[in-house]
Amino acid sequence: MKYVPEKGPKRGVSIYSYSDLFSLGLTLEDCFKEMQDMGAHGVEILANSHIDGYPELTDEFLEKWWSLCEKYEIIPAEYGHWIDGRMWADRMLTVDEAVEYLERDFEYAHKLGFHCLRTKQTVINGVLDPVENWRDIITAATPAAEKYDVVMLPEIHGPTILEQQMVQDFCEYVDKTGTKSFGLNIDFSVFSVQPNRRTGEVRNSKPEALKDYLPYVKCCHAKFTSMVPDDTYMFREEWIPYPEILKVLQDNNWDGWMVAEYEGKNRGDENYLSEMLHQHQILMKNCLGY
Amino acid sequence: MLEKEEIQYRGFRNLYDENGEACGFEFCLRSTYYRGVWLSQLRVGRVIVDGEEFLADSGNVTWIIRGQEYTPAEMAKDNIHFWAMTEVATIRVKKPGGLAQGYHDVAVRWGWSSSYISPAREVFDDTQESPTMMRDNNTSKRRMLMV
Repeated sequence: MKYVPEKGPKRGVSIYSYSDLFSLGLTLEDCFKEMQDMGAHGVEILANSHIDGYPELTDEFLEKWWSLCEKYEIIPAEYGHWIDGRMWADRMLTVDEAVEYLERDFEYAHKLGFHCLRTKQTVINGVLDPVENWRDIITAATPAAEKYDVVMLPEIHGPTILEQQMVQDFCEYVDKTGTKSFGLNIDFSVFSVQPNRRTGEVRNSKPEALKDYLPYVKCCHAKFTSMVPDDTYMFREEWIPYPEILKVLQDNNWDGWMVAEYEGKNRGDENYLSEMLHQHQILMKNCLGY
Repeated sequence: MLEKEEIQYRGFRNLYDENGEACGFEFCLRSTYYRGVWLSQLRVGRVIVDGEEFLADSGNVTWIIRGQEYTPAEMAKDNIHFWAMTEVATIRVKKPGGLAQGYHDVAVRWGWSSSYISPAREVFDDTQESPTMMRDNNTSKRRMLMV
Protein backbone atom coordinates (compact mmCIF):
# COMPACT_ATOMS: atom_id res chain seq x y z
CA MET A 1 0.00 0.00 0.00
CA LYS A 2 1.41 3.36 -1.00
CA TYR A 3 2.15 5.78 1.86
CA VAL A 4 -0.03 8.88 1.80
CA PRO A 5 0.86 11.54 4.38
CA GLU A 6 -1.99 12.64 6.66
CA LYS A 7 -2.55 16.20 7.81
CA GLY A 8 -0.85 17.14 11.07
CA PRO A 9 2.69 17.07 12.45
CA LYS A 10 4.59 14.26 10.74
CA ARG A 11 7.81 12.44 11.60
CA GLY A 12 10.89 12.57 9.43
CA VAL A 13 14.69 12.53 9.54
CA SER A 14 17.35 14.91 8.32
CA ILE A 15 20.20 13.08 6.64
CA TYR A 16 22.35 15.59 8.53
CA SER A 17 21.97 13.20 11.48
CA TYR A 18 24.07 10.69 9.54
CA SER A 19 26.80 13.20 8.55
CA ASP A 20 29.77 11.51 10.18
CA LEU A 21 28.96 8.19 8.52
CA PHE A 22 27.82 9.64 5.21
CA SER A 23 31.21 11.09 4.40
CA LEU A 24 32.79 7.68 5.02
CA GLY A 25 30.51 5.80 2.67
CA LEU A 26 27.04 5.40 4.21
CA THR A 27 24.52 5.80 1.37
CA LEU A 28 21.16 7.52 0.98
CA GLU A 29 19.65 4.07 0.58
CA ASP A 30 21.05 3.02 3.97
CA CYS A 31 19.39 6.06 5.55
CA PHE A 32 16.06 5.59 3.74
CA LYS A 33 15.92 1.96 4.78
CA GLU A 34 16.23 2.85 8.46
CA MET A 35 13.68 5.66 8.08
CA GLN A 36 11.21 3.13 6.71
CA ASP A 37 11.92 0.86 9.71
CA MET A 38 10.95 3.75 11.99
CA GLY A 39 7.95 4.95 9.99
CA ALA A 40 9.69 8.30 9.54
CA HIS A 41 8.57 9.16 6.03
CA GLY A 42 9.82 12.72 5.53
CA VAL A 43 13.40 13.42 4.53
CA GLU A 44 15.59 16.48 4.68
CA ILE A 45 18.72 16.47 2.58
CA LEU A 46 21.49 19.03 2.52
CA ALA A 47 22.21 20.05 -1.05
CA ASN A 48 25.92 20.64 -0.54
CA SER A 49 26.35 17.31 1.23
CA HIS A 50 23.98 14.70 -0.13
CA ILE A 51 23.50 15.36 -3.85
CA ASP A 52 26.11 13.29 -5.71
CA GLY A 53 28.15 15.61 -7.91
CA TYR A 54 26.74 18.88 -6.48
CA PRO A 55 26.77 21.69 -7.73
CA GLU A 56 25.55 19.66 -10.70
CA LEU A 57 22.26 17.79 -10.55
CA THR A 58 22.64 14.82 -12.88
CA ASP A 59 19.89 12.75 -14.48
CA GLU A 60 21.52 9.75 -12.88
CA PHE A 61 21.04 11.21 -9.39
CA LEU A 62 17.46 12.26 -10.15
CA GLU A 63 16.63 8.77 -11.28
CA LYS A 64 18.21 7.24 -8.19
CA TRP A 65 16.42 9.74 -5.95
CA TRP A 66 12.93 9.00 -7.22
CA SER A 67 13.43 5.26 -7.27
CA LEU A 68 14.66 5.32 -3.65
CA CYS A 69 11.76 7.55 -2.55
CA GLU A 70 9.33 5.12 -4.09
CA LYS A 71 11.01 1.98 -2.78
CA TYR A 72 11.19 3.22 0.82
CA GLU A 73 8.03 5.38 0.92
CA ILE A 74 9.96 8.57 1.49
CA ILE A 75 8.50 12.03 0.93
CA PRO A 76 10.84 14.99 0.21
CA ALA A 77 10.20 17.19 3.26
CA GLU A 78 12.90 19.86 3.29
CA TYR A 79 15.90 20.85 1.20
CA GLY A 80 18.74 22.41 3.18
CA HIS A 81 20.88 25.02 1.47
CA TRP A 82 22.92 28.09 2.29
CA ILE A 83 23.51 31.69 1.40
CA ASP A 84 27.26 31.69 1.96
CA GLY A 85 27.66 35.41 2.48
CA ARG A 86 31.29 35.00 3.45
CA MET A 87 32.06 32.99 0.33
CA TRP A 88 34.91 35.42 -0.32
CA ALA A 89 37.63 36.12 2.23
CA ASP A 90 37.78 39.83 1.40
CA ARG A 91 34.17 40.94 0.84
CA MET A 92 30.55 39.96 1.37
CA LEU A 93 28.51 38.23 -1.30
CA THR A 94 26.39 40.71 -3.29
CA VAL A 95 22.61 40.41 -3.60
CA ASP A 96 22.94 39.36 -7.25
CA GLU A 97 25.48 36.68 -6.39
CA ALA A 98 23.28 35.39 -3.57
CA VAL A 99 20.29 35.15 -5.89
CA GLU A 100 22.33 33.18 -8.41
CA TYR A 101 23.09 30.51 -5.81
CA LEU A 102 19.50 30.53 -4.56
CA GLU A 103 18.03 30.04 -8.03
CA ARG A 104 20.15 27.00 -8.70
CA ASP A 105 18.97 25.43 -5.46
CA PHE A 106 15.32 26.34 -6.13
CA GLU A 107 15.50 24.50 -9.43
CA TYR A 108 17.19 21.45 -7.89
CA ALA A 109 14.77 21.37 -4.95
CA HIS A 110 11.82 21.51 -7.33
CA LYS A 111 13.17 18.68 -9.47
CA LEU A 112 13.73 16.60 -6.34
CA GLY A 113 10.17 17.18 -5.15
CA PHE A 114 10.78 19.63 -2.30
CA HIS A 115 8.55 22.56 -1.46
CA CYS A 116 10.16 23.63 1.85
CA LEU A 117 13.71 24.94 1.84
CA ARG A 118 15.78 25.50 4.94
CA THR A 119 17.57 28.59 3.73
CA LYS A 120 20.53 29.42 5.94
CA GLN A 121 21.23 33.12 5.89
CA THR A 122 24.48 34.87 6.64
CA VAL A 123 24.69 36.00 10.25
CA ILE A 124 26.56 38.88 11.82
CA ASN A 125 26.81 38.11 15.54
CA GLY A 126 26.67 35.53 18.32
CA VAL A 127 22.87 35.54 18.63
CA LEU A 128 22.72 34.82 14.90
CA ASP A 129 21.10 38.01 13.63
CA PRO A 130 21.06 38.02 9.81
CA VAL A 131 22.88 40.42 7.49
CA GLU A 132 21.20 43.82 7.27
CA ASN A 133 20.20 43.39 3.61
CA TRP A 134 18.41 40.05 4.09
CA ARG A 135 15.13 41.59 2.89
CA ASP A 136 16.78 42.64 -0.38
CA ILE A 137 18.08 39.13 -0.96
CA ILE A 138 14.78 37.42 -0.20
CA THR A 139 12.79 39.92 -2.27
CA ALA A 140 15.15 39.55 -5.22
CA ALA A 141 14.91 35.75 -5.06
CA THR A 142 11.12 35.67 -4.74
CA PRO A 143 10.17 35.53 -8.46
CA ALA A 144 12.36 32.45 -8.88
CA ALA A 145 10.93 30.91 -5.71
CA GLU A 146 7.43 31.40 -7.12
CA LYS A 147 8.49 29.91 -10.45
CA TYR A 148 9.76 26.75 -8.74
CA ASP A 149 7.04 26.66 -6.07
CA VAL A 150 9.41 26.70 -3.09
CA VAL A 151 9.35 28.52 0.22
CA MET A 152 12.52 29.86 1.89
CA LEU A 153 12.64 29.16 5.61
CA PRO A 154 15.36 30.63 7.79
CA GLU A 155 16.05 28.24 10.65
CA ILE A 156 15.36 29.67 14.09
CA HIS A 157 17.97 27.91 16.19
CA GLY A 158 19.31 28.36 19.72
CA PRO A 159 20.74 30.57 21.12
CA THR A 160 18.15 32.50 19.13
CA ILE A 161 14.73 32.52 20.79
CA LEU A 162 11.29 33.17 19.30
CA GLU A 163 10.98 36.51 21.06
CA GLN A 164 14.16 37.85 19.43
CA GLN A 165 13.75 40.88 17.15
CA MET A 166 14.84 39.05 14.01
CA VAL A 167 11.98 36.55 14.34
CA GLN A 168 9.57 39.48 14.67
CA ASP A 169 11.18 41.02 11.59
CA PHE A 170 10.78 37.80 9.58
CA CYS A 171 7.08 37.56 10.50
CA GLU A 172 6.53 41.23 9.77
CA TYR A 173 8.12 40.77 6.34
CA VAL A 174 5.62 38.00 5.56
CA ASP A 175 2.71 40.12 6.83
CA LYS A 176 3.72 43.23 4.90
CA THR A 177 4.54 41.55 1.60
CA GLY A 178 1.92 38.81 1.79
CA THR A 179 4.56 36.50 0.34
CA LYS A 180 4.06 32.74 0.09
CA SER A 181 7.79 32.29 -0.57
CA PHE A 182 9.13 32.98 2.92
CA GLY A 183 8.42 31.61 6.40
CA LEU A 184 10.06 29.97 9.38
CA ASN A 185 11.74 26.70 10.23
CA ILE A 186 11.74 26.21 13.99
CA ASP A 187 14.56 24.16 15.43
CA PHE A 188 13.48 22.68 18.76
CA SER A 189 16.76 23.88 20.30
CA VAL A 190 14.93 27.17 20.96
CA PHE A 191 13.01 25.31 23.71
CA SER A 192 16.06 23.67 25.29
CA VAL A 193 16.44 24.07 29.06
CA GLN A 194 20.11 23.11 28.94
CA PRO A 195 22.31 25.81 30.52
CA ASN A 196 24.95 27.39 28.30
CA ARG A 197 28.26 25.59 28.79
CA ARG A 198 30.25 28.76 29.39
CA THR A 199 27.81 31.13 31.06
CA GLY A 200 25.44 28.70 32.82
CA GLU A 201 22.57 30.81 31.46
CA VAL A 202 19.35 29.19 30.25
CA ARG A 203 18.05 31.07 27.25
CA ASN A 204 14.94 29.61 25.68
CA SER A 205 11.34 30.11 24.60
CA LYS A 206 8.44 28.32 26.26
CA PRO A 207 6.61 25.77 24.09
CA GLU A 208 3.32 27.71 24.49
CA ALA A 209 4.98 30.70 22.78
CA LEU A 210 5.16 28.66 19.57
CA LYS A 211 1.41 28.98 19.01
CA ASP A 212 1.55 32.57 17.77
CA TYR A 213 4.23 31.73 15.21
CA LEU A 214 2.60 28.64 13.71
CA PRO A 215 1.07 30.43 10.70
CA TYR A 216 4.65 31.20 9.60
CA VAL A 217 6.16 27.81 10.42
CA LYS A 218 6.34 25.46 7.43
CA CYS A 219 8.79 22.88 8.76
CA CYS A 220 10.49 21.98 12.05
CA HIS A 221 13.86 20.60 12.98
CA ALA A 222 13.27 17.99 15.67
CA LYS A 223 16.62 18.61 17.34
CA PHE A 224 17.83 16.11 19.93
CA THR A 225 21.09 15.63 21.76
CA SER A 226 20.49 13.18 24.60
CA MET A 227 17.78 10.57 25.17
CA VAL A 228 16.86 9.23 28.61
CA PRO A 229 14.27 6.64 29.76
CA ASP A 230 10.77 7.89 30.59
CA ASP A 231 7.78 6.20 32.25
CA THR A 232 5.13 7.75 30.03
CA TYR A 233 6.75 8.03 26.60
CA MET A 234 9.38 5.27 26.98
CA PHE A 235 12.05 7.91 26.19
CA ARG A 236 12.37 11.63 26.54
CA GLU A 237 14.86 14.22 25.39
CA GLU A 238 16.97 15.21 28.37
CA TRP A 239 16.72 18.97 27.71
CA ILE A 240 13.97 19.60 25.17
CA PRO A 241 10.30 19.27 26.29
CA TYR A 242 8.97 17.24 23.35
CA PRO A 243 5.53 16.36 24.80
CA GLU A 244 4.74 20.04 25.38
CA ILE A 245 6.06 21.17 21.97
CA LEU A 246 4.25 18.46 20.02
CA LYS A 247 1.05 19.15 21.94
CA VAL A 248 1.14 22.79 20.80
CA LEU A 249 1.62 21.62 17.20
CA GLN A 250 -1.21 19.09 17.42
CA ASP A 251 -3.68 21.20 19.38
CA ASN A 252 -3.34 23.99 16.85
CA ASN A 253 -3.72 21.73 13.82
CA TRP A 254 -0.27 22.48 12.50
CA ASP A 255 0.47 20.53 9.34
CA GLY A 256 4.05 19.78 8.34
CA TRP A 257 7.20 17.76 8.79
CA MET A 258 9.41 17.50 11.83
CA VAL A 259 12.77 16.22 10.62
CA ALA A 260 15.03 14.70 13.23
CA GLU A 261 18.42 16.27 13.77
CA TYR A 262 20.71 14.37 16.08
CA GLU A 263 23.49 16.50 17.55
CA GLY A 264 24.61 14.38 20.48
CA LYS A 265 27.64 12.21 21.06
CA ASN A 266 28.91 9.26 19.02
CA ARG A 267 27.44 10.40 15.72
CA GLY A 268 30.12 8.36 13.98
CA ASP A 269 29.14 5.12 15.74
CA GLU A 270 26.58 3.50 13.47
CA ASN A 271 24.94 1.34 16.15
CA TYR A 272 24.74 4.12 18.72
CA LEU A 273 23.35 6.54 16.14
CA SER A 274 20.62 4.12 15.06
CA GLU A 275 19.70 3.53 18.70
CA MET A 276 19.35 7.28 19.28
CA LEU A 277 17.29 7.78 16.12
CA HIS A 278 14.95 4.96 17.13
CA GLN A 279 14.52 6.24 20.69
CA HIS A 280 13.75 9.72 19.42
CA GLN A 281 11.19 8.49 16.89
CA ILE A 282 9.53 6.38 19.61
CA LEU A 283 9.26 9.49 21.78
CA MET A 284 7.64 11.48 18.96
CA LYS A 285 5.35 8.60 18.02
CA ASN A 286 4.20 8.20 21.63
CA CYS A 287 3.55 11.93 21.91
CA LEU A 288 1.58 12.13 18.66
CA GLY A 289 -0.17 8.80 18.89
CA TYR A 290 1.02 7.78 15.39
CA MET B 1 36.39 4.56 1.14
CA LEU B 2 37.93 7.37 3.09
CA GLU B 3 39.87 6.98 6.33
CA LYS B 4 38.33 8.40 9.49
CA GLU B 5 41.14 10.82 10.31
CA GLU B 6 41.47 13.94 8.19
CA ILE B 7 45.01 13.26 7.06
CA GLN B 8 44.81 10.04 5.11
CA TYR B 9 47.39 7.28 5.13
CA ARG B 10 46.60 6.27 1.59
CA GLY B 11 48.17 8.60 -0.94
CA PHE B 12 51.18 9.74 1.13
CA ARG B 13 54.07 9.49 -1.29
CA ASN B 14 57.06 11.24 -2.82
CA LEU B 15 56.84 12.93 -6.22
CA TYR B 16 59.48 12.51 -8.92
CA ASP B 17 60.53 14.68 -11.85
CA GLU B 18 61.13 13.45 -15.39
CA ASN B 19 64.69 12.40 -14.46
CA GLY B 20 63.41 10.22 -11.65
CA GLU B 21 64.64 12.61 -8.95
CA ALA B 22 62.40 13.13 -5.93
CA CYS B 23 61.08 16.72 -6.13
CA GLY B 24 58.37 16.81 -3.50
CA PHE B 25 55.63 14.84 -1.79
CA GLU B 26 51.88 14.70 -1.55
CA PHE B 27 49.22 13.47 0.86
CA CYS B 28 45.44 13.34 0.93
CA LEU B 29 43.09 15.22 3.22
CA ARG B 30 39.41 14.70 3.85
CA SER B 31 37.09 17.20 5.44
CA THR B 32 35.12 16.26 8.54
CA TYR B 33 32.82 19.24 8.01
CA TYR B 34 29.29 18.01 7.34
CA ARG B 35 28.97 19.69 3.97
CA GLY B 36 31.05 20.29 0.87
CA VAL B 37 32.40 23.78 0.25
CA TRP B 38 33.13 26.10 -2.65
CA LEU B 39 36.87 26.55 -3.12
CA SER B 40 36.69 30.25 -2.26
CA GLN B 41 35.21 29.29 1.10
CA LEU B 42 38.37 27.42 2.02
CA ARG B 43 40.99 29.19 4.08
CA VAL B 44 44.25 27.52 3.12
CA GLY B 45 47.23 27.75 5.42
CA ARG B 46 50.68 26.26 5.81
CA VAL B 47 51.77 22.64 5.59
CA ILE B 48 54.11 21.50 8.35
CA VAL B 49 56.12 18.29 8.08
CA ASP B 50 58.53 17.36 10.87
CA GLY B 51 58.57 21.02 11.88
CA GLU B 52 59.47 22.29 8.41
CA GLU B 53 56.91 24.86 7.23
CA PHE B 54 55.68 25.24 3.66
CA LEU B 55 53.72 28.47 3.46
CA ALA B 56 50.52 28.60 1.44
CA ASP B 57 51.74 31.52 -0.71
CA SER B 58 55.28 30.19 -1.19
CA GLY B 59 54.52 28.79 -4.63
CA ASN B 60 55.45 25.36 -3.32
CA VAL B 61 51.98 24.22 -2.24
CA THR B 62 49.02 23.22 -4.42
CA TRP B 63 45.73 21.43 -3.74
CA ILE B 64 44.21 18.96 -6.21
CA ILE B 65 40.42 18.69 -6.06
CA ARG B 66 38.38 16.59 -8.47
CA GLY B 67 41.49 16.16 -10.62
CA GLN B 68 42.22 19.88 -10.97
CA GLU B 69 45.34 21.44 -9.43
CA TYR B 70 45.01 24.85 -7.76
CA THR B 71 47.32 27.24 -5.96
CA PRO B 72 45.82 28.64 -2.73
CA ALA B 73 45.49 32.02 -4.50
CA GLU B 74 43.50 30.43 -7.32
CA MET B 75 41.23 28.69 -4.84
CA ALA B 76 40.49 31.97 -3.06
CA LYS B 77 39.10 33.34 -6.36
CA ASP B 78 37.12 30.24 -7.36
CA ASN B 79 33.43 30.10 -6.45
CA ILE B 80 32.59 27.67 -9.27
CA HIS B 81 34.32 24.50 -8.18
CA PHE B 82 33.39 22.50 -5.15
CA TRP B 83 35.04 20.14 -2.69
CA ALA B 84 32.61 17.40 -1.63
CA MET B 85 32.73 15.88 1.84
CA THR B 86 32.97 12.44 0.27
CA GLU B 87 36.19 13.21 -1.64
CA VAL B 88 39.80 13.87 -0.69
CA ALA B 89 41.91 16.86 -1.61
CA THR B 90 45.47 15.94 -2.54
CA ILE B 91 47.97 18.41 -1.12
CA ARG B 92 51.13 18.60 -3.18
CA VAL B 93 54.34 20.17 -1.86
CA LYS B 94 57.53 20.96 -3.78
CA LYS B 95 60.64 19.90 -1.87
CA PRO B 96 63.87 18.97 -3.66
CA GLY B 97 64.85 15.45 -2.65
CA GLY B 98 61.40 14.68 -1.29
CA LEU B 99 61.03 13.07 2.11
CA ALA B 100 63.14 10.20 3.46
CA GLN B 101 61.62 6.80 4.01
CA GLY B 102 60.21 6.44 7.51
CA TYR B 103 57.80 8.20 9.85
CA HIS B 104 56.85 11.83 9.32
CA ASP B 105 54.63 14.17 11.33
CA VAL B 106 52.28 15.70 8.78
CA ALA B 107 50.01 18.68 9.41
CA VAL B 108 48.12 21.26 7.38
CA ARG B 109 46.42 24.34 8.81
CA TRP B 110 43.16 25.17 7.09
CA GLY B 111 39.60 26.17 7.64
CA TRP B 112 36.46 27.33 5.88
CA SER B 113 33.88 30.05 6.18
CA SER B 114 30.48 29.09 7.64
CA SER B 115 28.33 32.12 7.15
CA TYR B 116 25.63 30.88 9.54
CA ILE B 117 27.81 31.22 12.63
CA SER B 118 29.19 34.32 14.27
CA PRO B 119 31.99 35.86 12.17
CA ALA B 120 33.98 36.20 15.41
CA ARG B 121 34.31 32.41 15.51
CA GLU B 122 35.87 31.98 12.11
CA VAL B 123 38.84 34.30 12.03
CA PHE B 124 41.60 32.35 10.30
CA ASP B 125 45.22 32.67 11.37
CA ASP B 126 47.59 29.96 10.23
CA THR B 127 50.40 31.13 12.51
CA GLN B 128 48.34 29.59 15.32
CA GLU B 129 48.27 25.89 16.09
CA SER B 130 44.47 25.98 15.94
CA PRO B 131 43.98 28.28 12.96
CA THR B 132 40.26 28.89 13.55
CA MET B 133 38.12 29.12 16.67
CA MET B 134 35.65 26.78 15.02
CA ARG B 135 37.64 23.60 14.98
CA ASP B 136 41.14 22.28 15.25
CA ASN B 137 42.13 21.76 11.64
CA ASN B 138 45.78 21.24 12.26
CA THR B 139 46.02 17.85 13.93
CA SER B 140 49.48 16.52 13.22
CA LYS B 141 49.50 12.87 12.22
CA ARG B 142 52.40 10.44 12.11
CA ARG B 143 52.44 8.72 8.77
CA MET B 144 54.89 6.16 7.32
CA LEU B 145 56.36 7.01 3.93
CA MET B 146 57.88 4.32 1.72
CA VAL B 147 60.23 5.14 -1.09
